[in-house]
Amino acid sequence: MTTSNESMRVALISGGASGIGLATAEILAARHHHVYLADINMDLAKQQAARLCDEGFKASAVALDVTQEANWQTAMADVEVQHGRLDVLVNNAGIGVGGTIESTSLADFQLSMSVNVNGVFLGCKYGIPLMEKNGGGAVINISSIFGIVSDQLVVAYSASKGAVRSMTKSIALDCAARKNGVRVNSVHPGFVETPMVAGAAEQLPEDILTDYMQRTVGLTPMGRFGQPNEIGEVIAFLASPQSSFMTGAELVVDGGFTAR
Amino acid sequence: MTHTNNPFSLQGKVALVTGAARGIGADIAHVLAAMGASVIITDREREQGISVAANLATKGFEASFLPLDVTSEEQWEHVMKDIQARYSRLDILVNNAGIFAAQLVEDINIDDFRRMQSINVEGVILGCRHAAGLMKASASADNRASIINLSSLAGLVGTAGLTSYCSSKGSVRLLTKAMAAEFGAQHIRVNSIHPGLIQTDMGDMVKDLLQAQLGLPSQEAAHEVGLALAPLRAWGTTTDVANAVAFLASNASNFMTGSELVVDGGISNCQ
Repeated sequence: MTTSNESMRVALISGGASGIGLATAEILAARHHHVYLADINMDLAKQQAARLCDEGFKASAVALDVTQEANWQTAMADVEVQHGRLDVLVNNAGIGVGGTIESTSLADFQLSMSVNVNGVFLGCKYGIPLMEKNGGGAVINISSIFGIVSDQLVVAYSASKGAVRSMTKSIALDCAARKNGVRVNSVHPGFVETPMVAGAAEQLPEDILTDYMQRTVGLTPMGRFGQPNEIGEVIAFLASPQSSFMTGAELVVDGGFTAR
Repeated sequence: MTHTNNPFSLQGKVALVTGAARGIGADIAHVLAAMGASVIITDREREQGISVAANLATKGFEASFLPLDVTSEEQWEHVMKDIQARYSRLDILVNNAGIFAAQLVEDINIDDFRRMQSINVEGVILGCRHAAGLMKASASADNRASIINLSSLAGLVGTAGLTSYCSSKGSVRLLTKAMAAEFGAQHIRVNSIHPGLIQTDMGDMVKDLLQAQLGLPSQEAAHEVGLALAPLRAWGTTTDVANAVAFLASNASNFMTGSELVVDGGISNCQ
């Protein structure tokens, strides 16, 4: 049972049960947010939410396949029932489909677009009206450095993340024009040690992987992978009133990868 | 599953109520939640449904809202998937959603008739059809699952002008018994509830009907006629019906199935 707490802010994080989403949830929970871990893996979401509650934080698990419109309607109804408000929406759920234009099937391309683009679209479509009811909020869409630059091995991923980058600006302009108090920004992580990156790497043959690693971590000026909490901190900043004049902006968090 | 010594308690049970955004359905949700159940409020009306669930959550009860048009197979599938993900069980299904309309036989518009059948009868069948799997998996001989179908006084006796409604509610009465026979071995009980004159929006429509049929000057006069019809000299409240539902939902009615519970102040059984 969750009791509503007027002074507490409410955040929903898609893909909140692991990786960057979970790290973000932990940071927001520690900063007086009730966090909703919305994930397609409900068992893991329940487990992580229970752990956060044991640690004294406010957390709930929500079943969410971001590609399903009805799932979003249900998730938002849950938040509205429990709190009547939503302050922060982190559209973080995503999949990493690797491959070149020659090796990527149309089905894989469509899957990438469905989760990474449709998922963000639906999150904004159903999250922003609830934020408006309470005077505003912050939407943070997780794009990627591959939404700005690219690599031959990430055609589907790069296409989807580029879409997230420009869609974010369109939604930010709409919210600003309607003066609804909602800010919308994108975050562009570089190479971060997460289950998604590990999963994508596993699909690659050894020699291609070595080559790929040299082009990624090898070319990151800071010479290492980022950690999920290093992205989470930036998301938490965009979620906070400290970034009150930022909307439609893109924050790169990549150890300098795109600087060169 | 938490067992308590009180057989009327619904602690540890998960309940789904259709048409729960207002009237009798909203009060059923309230009473089931107050008795300890985790309640899923479903309705076509999103805003009202959310507000009912939020009101219960504020009182410290476990309640959530899911949009549901009971005539849509697709929406039933979504609702059941969500309950599976959230609770992995379903103990109580209250098929309450229904519509009411009065029409003389010669004025019956067959499309209106079919629409009423679709909501009042098919809605119940679809609910049972989609919920049965999870309810079977949740039920055992010492903790049976319970389906409660809202029929009506009009499912027991005929009333002029209510041919369509009587037809739909009579169907609910008998389909309940057929299902009770079929599901008994799987530890699911199925019973019907028959409310009489109840003070709801639908009750006001009944007053309008009485007023027209008897040539009464006002709704108040129709209210008085209703009072005179019932030996208990009262219109029922939504809570009167909800409490009866809570009894059928609980283990207190453990050996009841295929039965009909009349909640009408005595209208149908007394002279």
